[in-house]
Amino acid sequence: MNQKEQTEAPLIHSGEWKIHYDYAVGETATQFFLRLRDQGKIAGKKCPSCQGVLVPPRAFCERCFVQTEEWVDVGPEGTIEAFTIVYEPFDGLPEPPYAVAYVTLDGATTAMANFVRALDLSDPEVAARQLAVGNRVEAVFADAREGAVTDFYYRLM
Amino acid sequence: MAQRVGVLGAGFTAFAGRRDDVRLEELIFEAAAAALADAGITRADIGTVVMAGADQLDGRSISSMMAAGPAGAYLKDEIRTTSEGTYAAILACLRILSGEYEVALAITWSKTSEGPYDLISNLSYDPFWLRPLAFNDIVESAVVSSSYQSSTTLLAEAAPAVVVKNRSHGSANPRAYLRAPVTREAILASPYIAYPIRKAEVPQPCDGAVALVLASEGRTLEAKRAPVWIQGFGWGTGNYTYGRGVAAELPGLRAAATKAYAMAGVTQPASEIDFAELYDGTPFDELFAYEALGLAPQGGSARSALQGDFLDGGRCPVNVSGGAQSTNLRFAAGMMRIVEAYLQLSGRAGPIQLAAPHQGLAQGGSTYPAQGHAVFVLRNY
Repeated sequence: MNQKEQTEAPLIHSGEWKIHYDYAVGETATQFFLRLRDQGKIAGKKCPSCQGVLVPPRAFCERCFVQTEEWVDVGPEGTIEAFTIVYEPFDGLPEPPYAVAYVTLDGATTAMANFVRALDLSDPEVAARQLAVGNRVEAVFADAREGAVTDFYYRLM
Repeated sequence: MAQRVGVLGAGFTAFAGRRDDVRLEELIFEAAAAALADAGITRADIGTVVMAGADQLDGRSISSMMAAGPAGAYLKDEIRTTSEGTYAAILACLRILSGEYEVALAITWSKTSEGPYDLISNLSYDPFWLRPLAFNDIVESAVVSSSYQSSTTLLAEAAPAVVVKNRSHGSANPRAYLRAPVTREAILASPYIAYPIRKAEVPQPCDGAVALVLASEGRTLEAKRAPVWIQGFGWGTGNYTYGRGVAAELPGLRAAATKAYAMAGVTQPASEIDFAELYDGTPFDELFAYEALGLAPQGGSARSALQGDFLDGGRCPVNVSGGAQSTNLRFAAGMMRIVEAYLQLSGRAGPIQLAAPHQGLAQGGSTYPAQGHAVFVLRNY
């Protein structure tokens, strides 16, 4: 067959990956999620070398390269470090609009991302000014918690 | 430095929104064969093949099994990295400098039209902290952009100017995928996709593959064409976590540039680099790179951009090829930056040829989470 005989568009064969994983959360994040679920508190782990309080907690400090040991409660208030507001739909992701922010909770060294709710997002410029870096938020805990990052969200103060 | 790596040739495929006329193997073969032809060598001359590809984008696991053959690696030394495309060039340079290989083919590809890119991008995040928050590369770029700490008003003004510049440059480049220029008004009229990034600031992606033939110093000097050298290269990995430093300062890129400049003997990049090809998946990526690479003063990216420093004809033209804004090869966009820089220094850039450039910079970076970056200093003397 030469190319000129081909009258139809090249064929497309479809395929899908449906692969289930059971991710080990690890002891450190497990403790974080259980404390979040059962007591409505956010905790970080302190690096014994640089004294940084890592939130989300990590079992190690990647800069000092030592294991972390001590738990420290942080927040529930904190300061916005970075944010965005999503206005266009992405494949397989939530319906827009929604806002996410990285927040350094009081007492923490690193920032933790979560959704920002209870905020009118209809005007991007107005909402962006409210979410400006340096503004203060508080963590609000869901009534029914399952031990996941979405057990809390941020709300402007 | 005792030895340096030379560029013998470059090859790339036709670019299209969907390359349904070829399967992935055929796309890879198209670029590899073009690169060998450009270098004036055959497959027999290649010592090692270095690939960069990502299984989740390719929709095949261990995609090097099917990619090695069309990349020219049958019964040869081959290795693949899953880091961003330019890491194939990094690894190829290292393999040549090891003394084990005289000639390397570095190749990368992006055929993301075949899968749900936004969702795949989300899967790159850890399953505990960020994936449940709907992060992907655009969301990440937007978040990084919001952390910029200097003159945010000017930044908002400069972002559309970068897109207008690159699309205008790209309109003259026969290799570019998007050839139509865009206006500032059209960009400002487009909705936010993820604040502060507007829909018209994220270019429509295309499928394609890009390859370079690299060689030892001795082998390069034997070639007929005037040599172009990779005089310095570096790569760096920044934070995954936030809050210890400002994300928009791109610490991974700064680390990469420091290594590349030291290797090339560049001490004053703003005056020593004649032109640059930078990763510009969003205009903010390019703006933050000016500062991280020392092409603009700290806090001065937006001002430098607005005064035209990086226009064709400006102090240091950036992305005269049109950049990824004109040819959004996603995973392979960085490698195309090296190819465009090489063509400029080889005097073969066609209608967009700069007047007698001697030293250029090319940069590639992983968009999410702005973590890994590679920098190349190329020179033709």
